[in-house]
Amino acid sequence: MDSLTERLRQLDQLPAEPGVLVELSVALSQLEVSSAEIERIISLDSALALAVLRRSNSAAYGASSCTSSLCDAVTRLGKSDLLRIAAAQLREGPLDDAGRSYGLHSGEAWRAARAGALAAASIGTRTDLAAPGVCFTAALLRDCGKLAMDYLVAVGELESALIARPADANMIELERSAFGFDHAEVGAELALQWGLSIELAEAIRHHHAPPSEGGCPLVDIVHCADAVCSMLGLGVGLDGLGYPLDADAQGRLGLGLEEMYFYMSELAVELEGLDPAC
Amino acid sequence: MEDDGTLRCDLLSECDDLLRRSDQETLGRAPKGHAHAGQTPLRWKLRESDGAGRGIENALSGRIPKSGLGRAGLEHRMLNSNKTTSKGVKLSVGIADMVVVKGCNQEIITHALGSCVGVTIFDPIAGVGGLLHYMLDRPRTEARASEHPVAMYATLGVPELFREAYKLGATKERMIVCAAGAAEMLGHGSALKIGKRNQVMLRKLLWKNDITLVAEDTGGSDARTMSLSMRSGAVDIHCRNSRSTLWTP
Repeated sequence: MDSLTERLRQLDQLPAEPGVLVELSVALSQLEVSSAEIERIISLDSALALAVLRRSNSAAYGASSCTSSLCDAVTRLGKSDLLRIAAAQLREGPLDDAGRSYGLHSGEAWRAARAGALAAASIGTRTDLAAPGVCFTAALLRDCGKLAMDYLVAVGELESALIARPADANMIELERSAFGFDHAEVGAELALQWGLSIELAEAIRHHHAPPSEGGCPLVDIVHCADAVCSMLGLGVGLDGLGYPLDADAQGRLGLGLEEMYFYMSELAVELEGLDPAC
Repeated sequence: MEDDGTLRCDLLSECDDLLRRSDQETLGRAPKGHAHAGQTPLRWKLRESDGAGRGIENALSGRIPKSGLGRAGLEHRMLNSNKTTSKGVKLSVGIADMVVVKGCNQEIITHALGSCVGVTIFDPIAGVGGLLHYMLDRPRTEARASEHPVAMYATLGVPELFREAYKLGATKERMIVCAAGAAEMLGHGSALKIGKRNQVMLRKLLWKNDITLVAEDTGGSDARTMSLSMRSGAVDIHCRNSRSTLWTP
C-alpha cells in the first residue's frame, strides 16, 4: 500500500482534485445547510461560480432580471441543479479522458460516472440508507482509479492484459495479479490524496467488492449502482462485465429483480433526457 | 429461469399476431407520418417535453417520478436527410432505441451491449433493415410499459421493429435476423440473469412467430458493439478490440 501511495505521489501528472464538487455535494446532502455556506463553497472555484451564475440567468429559470449575486443564483437554482452543474464542471477535468487503458473513448468514463451517480442517488433515496448527495458523489468518483491506472501502468500493458483475459476472469483479481493493485484500490488512495473523506474513499475502494461483514450502506449502494451501469453497457470497455455482482450487498439493500428492473429503466430514461448521445 | 411459466403465459396471449403484417399495411395504406419512409430512417425516442431527466432532482428531493415521462415509441423522429445520406456517417442506436431504414448504404451501429440485446433485421430484396437495442425482456407492470420507450423491452420493441420494417416493404419470409449481447456479470448476484432473460425472450418471440434467428453472439461477460451494413446486410460484432462477422450473405 505504501508503495502505491508513494507511486501516486510521484506521478508528475495527476488530475486536479474534484474537492469543490465533493464538498458541495456533502453540504447539499445535509438537511440544514445555509445558502451562505453553499455560496462559500462555490466561490472557491471560479469556473463553477461562473457556471452557476450563467445557469441561473438562463431563460430556463424565467429570470425577470439578471443576477450577479452568487447567493441569489444559489437560491434560484436549488439543490439538484447545483449538483448537476458541479458534476458538469468535472467533465471538463479529469474524468472525461479516464479509462483509455480500458478501451474507453473520450467521454465514455464521464457518461458512466454520471449514470452511476444518478443511479446511486436514486437508490439512496429509495432505500433511505444513505444521503443521496453523498451517494451521488461517491458513485461519480468510483472509477477515478481508472484514470490513475493510465499513468501507473505502462502504455498498452493493461490493454494487452484485458484483451488476453479468460472469458470468466474477475477483473479485480486480474489487475491485482498483473500489477499488484487494482483500480478500485488506486482510486481510494487517490481520493485520500485529494483529501476526500474516508467514507468516500472506502466506497471507492470497495465498489467492486463490498465487505461481507460490517458492510456500509454507501458501499453497497455504489456497488449496485455500478452494476446497473455495467448491465446497461455504460463505461464498459475491454474489461467487459467481468466484475462480480455481490448478492449480499443486493440483499442488504433489498434489491431484487424488480428493483433492478426499476433502476435500469429509470436510469435509461434519465440519461435519455440528459444526453441525446448517450 | 425460475419464472419461465410467467413469461410463457405473457407471450402466448399476444404472440400469435406480434410479427404479422397488419391489414392496414397489407392494403398498402401509408401510415401517418411516413410520407418519406422510403428513404428516411425512423427512430424512436422519448418525447422531449415530457420532463425526462428530472429523476435526480426527484431523487435528491426524496421524490421518485411516478409517471408522466411519456410513452415513447409512438413518435417518429426523422433524421436530417442530408446527414443520413452523406458518405461515412453511421446511424447510431442508443440504449432502448431503434432505427429502421430503407434504401440507404449506411451502417447502423449500436455500442456497448452489456446485458442488453441488439437485434438486426434485414430484407435484402426490399432493401429494408433495422436495429433494435433493448435492455429488458418485458415490462413488469402495465404502468411501466406505458411510461417507457417500446424499444426498452423485447416484448414491445421486437414487434415494433418488424412492424416498421413491414411498413417500408419488408416481408417476414425474407427477413434475416441476428442478435448479440446478453452478457452477464460475475458472481452470485448474477443470479438475476438479466442477460439470459433478454436472450430467452427474443428466442421465444421469434420461435412463436416462425422466424429463424440466423446468427447470434450472446452470453459471456464481454461488451459488444453490433453493426448492420445496409449495403450488404452483413452484421459485424466488435468485441475486445477485434472485429468479426456474425452474418454475411
